[in-house]
Amino acid sequence: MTKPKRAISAPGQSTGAVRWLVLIALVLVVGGSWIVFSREPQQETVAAELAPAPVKGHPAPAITLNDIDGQVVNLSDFQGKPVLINFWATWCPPCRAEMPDFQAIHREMGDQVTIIAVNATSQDEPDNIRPFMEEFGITFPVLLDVRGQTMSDYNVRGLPTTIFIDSNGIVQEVFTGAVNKAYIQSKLSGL
Amino acid sequence: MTPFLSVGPLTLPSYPFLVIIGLWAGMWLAAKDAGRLKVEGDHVYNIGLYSLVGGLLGGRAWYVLAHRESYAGVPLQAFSLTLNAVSLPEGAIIGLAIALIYSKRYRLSIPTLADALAPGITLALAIGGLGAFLGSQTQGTPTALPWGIVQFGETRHPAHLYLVLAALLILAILRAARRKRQRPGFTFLLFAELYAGSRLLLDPFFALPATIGAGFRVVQVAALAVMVLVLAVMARVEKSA
Repeated sequence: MTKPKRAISAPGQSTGAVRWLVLIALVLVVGGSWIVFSREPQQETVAAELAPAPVKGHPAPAITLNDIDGQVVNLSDFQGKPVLINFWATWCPPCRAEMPDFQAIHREMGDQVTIIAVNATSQDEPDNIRPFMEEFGITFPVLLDVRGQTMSDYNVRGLPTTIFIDSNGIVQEVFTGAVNKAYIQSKLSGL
Repeated sequence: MTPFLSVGPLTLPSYPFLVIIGLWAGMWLAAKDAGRLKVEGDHVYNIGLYSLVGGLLGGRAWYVLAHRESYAGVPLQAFSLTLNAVSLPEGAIIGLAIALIYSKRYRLSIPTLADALAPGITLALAIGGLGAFLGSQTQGTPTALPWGIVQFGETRHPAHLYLVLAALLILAILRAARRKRQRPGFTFLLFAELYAGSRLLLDPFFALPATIGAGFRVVQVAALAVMVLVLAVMARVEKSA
């Protein structure tokens, strides 16, 4: 039995292979140069230089509001640990659904994370706020956005909205809709 | 830009709404192209639906497993409607695996099917990109060019619009390329090469990118790797023909 002869490459085939190799080399050189030319400075430096905005990667816009007892609260007071800002109203069913989970997180994690509930007071009935807090046993700060300025600063388009801010004061996520305990915890592990 | 769209009496969030429209339009175009390539259009709709549902469920399962400590005390929350609690890369891989299993089960030619899907995927990317632009999902780098848009108090590149224009250009190239008879799989490889090229070229117009090493953009590095891989596959296909 004779062994089958190995096929010999036709001249056209090797020319084709060279053409492909040249093309790949060209893509590598041009693409690689573009990657090097357009590389970014370190992420932390960029984030700190950005204007405050309710967008991932930006410093969180400042908040100065009165709490339910009339005390002035500043967001900057809580820098150094993760902060959750929850925008809510008493008439909003998903806000009612998620509030027990925020309270559970606050109870279990204590000082490891700050939870701030900003009530959309400009769209709510102020007399309903304290009964709502008592109904859900809320013990974290509840701030009153009487003029709607903080809602505007945070570009809140629907309730509830939750903003996840890391310990450097940088926004990491903006979530519109009801969140739950497991999801909050999973996000906090990355802050 | 325009985070909500008014459609008759309804007010819908631009980004999710246009992603859904993009998926539907993409499947419609792919089904149309499948017919031309002698593949039943229903297969395209089935693959799209199974991959989407399977990918979402798989992505959720992956997310829950990756954060099992968070879900341990509240296992029922694994079934919540929180769409963000999905691992997208793993979900996409699971969706792709479902598409491959389906193709094998119905003995569909994967290169031919991929050719049929390529223009549909491009159209879906264009429409979804428009949704991302309107919904201000991400932002561009600052610019002084006259077509810059004001985002968060600064004039910036409309980076998502650049990707939309690139997708429309790719769609036109794919349409032009089909006039010439090509080997099965060529249209998809051309799509992959051009799309990766567009991401490599346009990513620097997006602000706050994920980076590796000395500030290299992850998207660009991945795009360059895909471009080289696709060219190598094209060379191999040509050699074996």
